[in-house]
Amino acid sequence: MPNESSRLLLYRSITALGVVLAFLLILLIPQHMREGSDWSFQYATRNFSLGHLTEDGVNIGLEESEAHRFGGDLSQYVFVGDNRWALTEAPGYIFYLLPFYYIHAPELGSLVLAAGMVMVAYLLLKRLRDEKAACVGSLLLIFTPVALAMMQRIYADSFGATAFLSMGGGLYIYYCLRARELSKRASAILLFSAGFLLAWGAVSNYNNALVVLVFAVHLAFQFLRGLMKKAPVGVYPAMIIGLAVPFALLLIYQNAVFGSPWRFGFQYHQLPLGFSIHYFTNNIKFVSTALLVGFPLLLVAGYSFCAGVNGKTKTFFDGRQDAGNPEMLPELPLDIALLLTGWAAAVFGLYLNFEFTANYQVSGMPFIILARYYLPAVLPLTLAAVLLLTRVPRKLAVAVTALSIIWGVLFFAQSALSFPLVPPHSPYNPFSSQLPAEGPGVVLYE
Amino acid sequence: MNRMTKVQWAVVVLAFCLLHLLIFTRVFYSGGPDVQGYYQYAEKINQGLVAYRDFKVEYPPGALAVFYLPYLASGSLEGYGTAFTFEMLIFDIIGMLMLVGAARRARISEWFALIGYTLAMVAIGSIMVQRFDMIPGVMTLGALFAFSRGNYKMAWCVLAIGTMTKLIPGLLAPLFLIYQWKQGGWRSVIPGLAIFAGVILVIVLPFVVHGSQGFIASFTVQGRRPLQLESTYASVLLLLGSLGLTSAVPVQGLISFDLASPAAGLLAKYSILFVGLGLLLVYGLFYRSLRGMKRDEAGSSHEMLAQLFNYSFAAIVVFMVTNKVFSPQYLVWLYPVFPLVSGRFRPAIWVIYITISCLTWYIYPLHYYDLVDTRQVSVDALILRNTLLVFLAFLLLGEQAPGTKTVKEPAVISASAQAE
Repeated sequence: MPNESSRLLLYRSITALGVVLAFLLILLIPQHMREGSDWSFQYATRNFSLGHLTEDGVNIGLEESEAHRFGGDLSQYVFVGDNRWALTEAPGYIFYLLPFYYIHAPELGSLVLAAGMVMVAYLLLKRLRDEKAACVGSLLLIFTPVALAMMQRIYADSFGATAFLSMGGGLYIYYCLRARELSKRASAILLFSAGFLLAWGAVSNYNNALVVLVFAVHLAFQFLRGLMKKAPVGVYPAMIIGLAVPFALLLIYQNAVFGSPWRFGFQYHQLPLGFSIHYFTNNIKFVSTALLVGFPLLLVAGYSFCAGVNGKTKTFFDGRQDAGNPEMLPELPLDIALLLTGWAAAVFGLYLNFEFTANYQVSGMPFIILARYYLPAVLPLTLAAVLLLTRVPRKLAVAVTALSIIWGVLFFAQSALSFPLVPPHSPYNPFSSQLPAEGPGVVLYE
Repeated sequence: MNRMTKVQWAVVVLAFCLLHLLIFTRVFYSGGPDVQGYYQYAEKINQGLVAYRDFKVEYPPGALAVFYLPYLASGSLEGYGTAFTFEMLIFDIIGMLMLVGAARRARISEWFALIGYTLAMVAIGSIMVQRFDMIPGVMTLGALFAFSRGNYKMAWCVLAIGTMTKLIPGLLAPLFLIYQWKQGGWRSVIPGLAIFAGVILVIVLPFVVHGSQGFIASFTVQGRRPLQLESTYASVLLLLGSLGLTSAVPVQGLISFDLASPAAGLLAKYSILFVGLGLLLVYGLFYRSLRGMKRDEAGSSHEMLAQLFNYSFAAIVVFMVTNKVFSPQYLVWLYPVFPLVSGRFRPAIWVIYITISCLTWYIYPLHYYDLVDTRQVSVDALILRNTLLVFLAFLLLGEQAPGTKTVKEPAVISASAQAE
């Protein structure tokens, strides 16, 4: 029987191999420009790299017609007055991507974030449970179909914003679990990093601010509880500083682009991107199947959340201790269980009221178009699913894990190889080099 | 059980019956093209025409009684639809009553059984009253119920009638054989087999005498069907098609929407082999699970009953997975037996079955023409549904044999078990 260190090495090797396999999948199928946001972000990255946070009408017209020639559009660029056009979306991901763009390797941006996200998830699950759970959880995280598909779309902000959010949230939870063991310095660094990454997640996608708010509420709760119990709370300002820095940079950007720190791109657009409870029923109807395809562990995670939180809440009100009772997930304190639930609820609660996905015309579209909005919830879903899987019979856990990974690969491939919007001979069509030449006059971008 | 408990249970069961009545009559949409087809059969029977000879029938003879009964209540199509709904409801309630009895004998929680029965009904949806598959499903349960009470002759008789309504209940015959053999040796099997064969003969003989060609054709036409669009094989081809590895195009067939693909013909032709192998696996595993039991132990063991229920469910699931045709109403066959499934994987099986039912409802009737147009989400829903069904089959067959803690409740159930 292998000794402990061999087993640890095995789990870490499996995780590393899995991550490498995921990277190979992403790189083997070339960059695919699927939606308007991919095109908009690609041009925005180029423009930002030249120091142009906005563009004038002439340039944006040229870029639009160039993109249109290859089947794309710049729907995320809007007119903001004074012959200037700006990006509606949050700019955080573009600024992150710039260094990789300068070295002509933008795809590395996604891979670095993926590696970071997996490392944080591994660390967290190792702390919560053991190395086996960490290995399983990391693989399930990276092979989630939506995660793989969005990782491959290097110019879309969904994966980047999710990765920042997951790293920040994961580090924060890790700190909460280890608070008593860490030195003040280590705590401060951890909290600052958590805050910074969480905020950068919101600076990369405005809607992630709701998740950051959930963490802020938990932080406030921890602070107050610390004050009441006369515990040391001096490290918490590190997180507040970490949160503040990206938001301050965002305000500077918004002031430069829109003329006021409190104005942002979505205030100028005409797209159906609102939120209202009226869209809830339609979203349930149209999005449910896409979610099941994009997040195969959704049901497992949902059950885990319900059973875990319900059990813990009962225990809390009964005054019993749940230590030693495996059904109550004793490794997960009640406040962390609620935090994870709040994180998932913030994402699902928001996007189940989203106007765009409640539109009947998108209801039959590929799953990635509907499911990608829920990607920010991938870490809490994976954590909940893994904590449940480690408690079911081993055969079932292995079967579910294997099936999920195979499912992830197949549906990533399906998403990456289907191109409803890109014309056959566009250079952004992965198979365009294998098609017979269309004729003269096709100008390749770059 | 004291008098108060019996009364309480009677009230609970009555409440569930009323809930089913409400859902069947107020929530589900009755009627549809299949009910119209049943009405036409009933009309022809009423006109004195002989089935299989004077008009084609694609079902076994027992189904004709199912189609004709509502016609006695109303001769108009609209009235027929309502009467058909009530016919399904009556069988549903009969099923519920038998379910409670069978659950009690197998020491499965009656509450779980009733809740599961109701959840499954809601998840399956209106097709419960738009097809007649409830009846073979309830007959399957009826045969299992009679078996659980030791009334083997009745069990074989009900099984035979069910088989002559739709062939599916016949899948349980080898399981009954193995079970009875284990209990009382080969001699004890003979009366049951004789009853089974005799009842089938009694039902079939008049139709064979008057219209043998039509009668045989009603079976062979199913065998000649191409690969149906919703089958497991079709979903594999559709997945490969979406990856650009093959072509897979839905086409309108004579009976249903089928799939045209280079491999479709081959898969349809050899599917019978997979069906046979799959069922042999189920029967083999059931036999193996009984092998370790002594004969006198097998008789009254609730564990053995639980195994029988599990393998009955598994046999139907395996058939559905390996068959070249998968119509949405096939899920109704599983519905009455589903709450009796037990074992380590029961929570997972429950969640998977309910999800499969919801996805089937999503595919048909909600997005069937999206599937025919191969719109990706609908295709993905089909692939997901069939993947879960295959996974369900593996879970069922992966259960341990009795005597090795088969029906032990899994530790993962916490809040839901406490809510019971």
